[in-house]
Amino acid sequence: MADRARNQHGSGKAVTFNVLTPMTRFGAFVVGLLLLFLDRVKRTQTTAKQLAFLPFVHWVIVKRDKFPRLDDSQPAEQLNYDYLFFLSTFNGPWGPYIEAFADVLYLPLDSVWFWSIGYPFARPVGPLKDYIHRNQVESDHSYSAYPGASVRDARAGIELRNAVQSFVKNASALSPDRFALEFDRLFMSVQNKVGTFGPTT
Amino acid sequence: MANQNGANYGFTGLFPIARGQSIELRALLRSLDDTKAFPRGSPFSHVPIIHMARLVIIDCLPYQGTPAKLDTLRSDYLLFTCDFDGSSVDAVINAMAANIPGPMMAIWGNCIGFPGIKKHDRLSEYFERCQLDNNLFLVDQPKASVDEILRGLLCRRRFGEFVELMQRKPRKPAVLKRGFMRMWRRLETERPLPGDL
Amino acid sequence: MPDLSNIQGNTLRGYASYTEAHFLLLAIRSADAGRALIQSLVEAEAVTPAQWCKRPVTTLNFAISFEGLRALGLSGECLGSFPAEFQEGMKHRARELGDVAGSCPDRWDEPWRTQRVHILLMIYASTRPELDQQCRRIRDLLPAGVEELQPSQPAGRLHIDGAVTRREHFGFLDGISNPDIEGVPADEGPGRAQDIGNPDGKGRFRKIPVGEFILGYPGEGGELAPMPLPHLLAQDGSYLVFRKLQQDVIGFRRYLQNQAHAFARTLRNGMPYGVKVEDFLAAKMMGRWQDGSPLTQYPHSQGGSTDNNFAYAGDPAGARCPLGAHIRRANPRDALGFGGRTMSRHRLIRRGIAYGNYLPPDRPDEEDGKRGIIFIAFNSGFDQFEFVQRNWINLGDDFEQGNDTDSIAGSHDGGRMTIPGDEATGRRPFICFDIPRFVDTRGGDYFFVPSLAGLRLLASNRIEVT
Repeated sequence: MADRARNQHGSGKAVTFNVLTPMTRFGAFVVGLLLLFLDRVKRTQTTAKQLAFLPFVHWVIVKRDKFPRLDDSQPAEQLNYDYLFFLSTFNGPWGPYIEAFADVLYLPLDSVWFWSIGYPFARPVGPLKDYIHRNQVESDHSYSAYPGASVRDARAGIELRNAVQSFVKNASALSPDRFALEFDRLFMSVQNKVGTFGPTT
Repeated sequence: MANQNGANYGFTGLFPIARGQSIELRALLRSLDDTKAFPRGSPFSHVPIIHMARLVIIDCLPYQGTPAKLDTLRSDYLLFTCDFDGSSVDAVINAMAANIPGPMMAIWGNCIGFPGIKKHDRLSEYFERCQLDNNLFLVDQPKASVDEILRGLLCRRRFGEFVELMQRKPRKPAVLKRGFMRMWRRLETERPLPGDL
Repeated sequence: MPDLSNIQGNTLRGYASYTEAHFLLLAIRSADAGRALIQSLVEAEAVTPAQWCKRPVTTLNFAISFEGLRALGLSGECLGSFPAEFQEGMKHRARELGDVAGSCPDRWDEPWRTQRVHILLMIYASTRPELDQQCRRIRDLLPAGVEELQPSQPAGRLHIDGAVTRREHFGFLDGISNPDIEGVPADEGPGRAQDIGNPDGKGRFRKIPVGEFILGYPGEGGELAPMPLPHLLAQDGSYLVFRKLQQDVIGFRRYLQNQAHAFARTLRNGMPYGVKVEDFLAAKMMGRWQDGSPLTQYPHSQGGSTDNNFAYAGDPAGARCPLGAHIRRANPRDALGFGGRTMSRHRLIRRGIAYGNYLPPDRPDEEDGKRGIIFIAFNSGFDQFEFVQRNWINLGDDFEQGNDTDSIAGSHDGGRMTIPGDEATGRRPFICFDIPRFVDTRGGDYFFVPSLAGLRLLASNRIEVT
């Protein structure tokens, strides 16, 4: 599927997710302020990171007269609404992730999307899923530089490498016996970061 | 505006597509993950600073049902998002023009006003004209470059392999140390390619 | 309050005292005959509800697959209102479920391999003669036009050392843990399962809304699971996942023996008195000792207790119960954080029962490996089962285990499992490598379990979606 990154070894763990929703001018203004607030006050972002399935997310308000017009031959758009583009990536199909948002982050979700026309609130999650189906656009191409890695895989890799690098720096001059002891300590400290990873066939 | 988060830049752009070109462009886009042509999953795998990217043709806007009004687009647009290591659009444009000139021409050649890739400043200008600023840009690992993430993943794999070796047959501490340092030195020279892991 | 007189039995409360079972697999060759069969079962009041005044000698329950509903002649609108996974059937979802390689449908037992089972009749009894008699009675009821597919599936609790036990073939006590559901009176009597709810965010557990398992009631998140039409057919119904899972007992024991030496090297102070290394390793893979005592409460030796009221908050790195152990994957409780809010939609009622004879250790296998568990789960949507199967059994990401699958039940070829070390005892971490697949799928499908009123509607040929 074009919304899922992959490589020759199989399907990746990066599935792009695009939802476009219309807003009134006033709604767009409020959402702009809310997103500015969420950018400055990090608590929601911290919770979203704890959920551990969002590598990159773009929230973009596209005002009705700001669709790029490069040339006079290109007619100007005449739209009734401004649009919120929500461009995210998940580690798999979006159903369970939207449920997690609805269960854990429904307040920020509702605050931002309340201003989108037709938004049904995050709970119960059934109507929200219908809303997403209506407003979702499939990607035509998706790429990830590490398709076999989920957010947790990438984090664990970085942390493990930092730990190993530190270990090499501190332990390389030790006697073999002390080295072996320190290696045991290293292994213990990274024991839950060594799972296999990779695309799935 | 929130285009930068740590060391990562999140580019979002809408590129108007030349009239009548959308069908051909969509077919092209959907062929870009052909692993015979691009074994690492995409032409973007040849641009080392790109973490993730997507291409989406926007040719209609969602309708919510009455009393909402129907919006109709007069042009089709190519939505391009790209998350890369850098602090300006120039970085990714230069990297793409240098590494994937052919695919870049093939894709953006369908778009209005595309100046070609020969003159980088005109190309930059073109991308900036089509750029939309993010209102919010969330990044899980804002300090990590593509290279750091790939090397971290490879280290995880090699470490697991090393443990397997040591577990199968217990080694004397001197052998353990030698083996580990050898593994580490080899790892330092391994450069996993984007899209490989 | 769920209507226990309308909901079929073995769902909200298990048939703990019925130790023998037989599953009849039927195909409907004529819609009239199919309806006639259901009508005769209804008239005889043969189908067992979730609540009874007098304990029946045997129980009978009825489930029907999508192809079965189609064979009964239900309209397109009605059929189309059922979930997509149910319409496809379990065989067509083999890739999603990890039923690949040795578990792929081409390798399944008959009749699952070549036929579509339409009706699943589940018969339980306390003794073999009572079971056989009920099977004969039911078979006598089958009209021409309803064919019994061969072979049928016997099942029953294992006899080990001359006693009936609740152990499964790998030797673990089974059926200990099921959801604690609102509005369902607790099982009584000694040795009954201790049901466990979902985390309440304050360190304890709360009951689970019945709508997670029975259609027509609110579930987690305060919503109704999507219901098929018409309403009378759907209300008080449930969805059943039926999987015949063959267990490679010899392979499992062999793996434990092969790993024992290397695993023992991680134990600085050796094993506690009376505990075998293989048993400790097996417990680490399962998350419980073979007697059912959870590692979280009994980290060093089995405790003879099936106390199920425990959480993982005190064991974040898996020193006691590995993060990827089977029971921690199947029900993470509070291990995923957020007060349980990211796991609460993924609970399953499990009513599995063994099939085949127990293989004592060091004895030749005269049955050629044909033993295992009939896995039966109930949910109000197949997305619940499939989520657990895909994301928790066949993937380890939520447990920081990457792609590592469940070492006991997962789909893998040369799987891996990390057994975290324990700073308290000095036990070092250990990785199980090259884990063979111990459990292979040999058949099964997705079924709808109508209420008793739903059964009467199915028998009537008066189903309309207007």
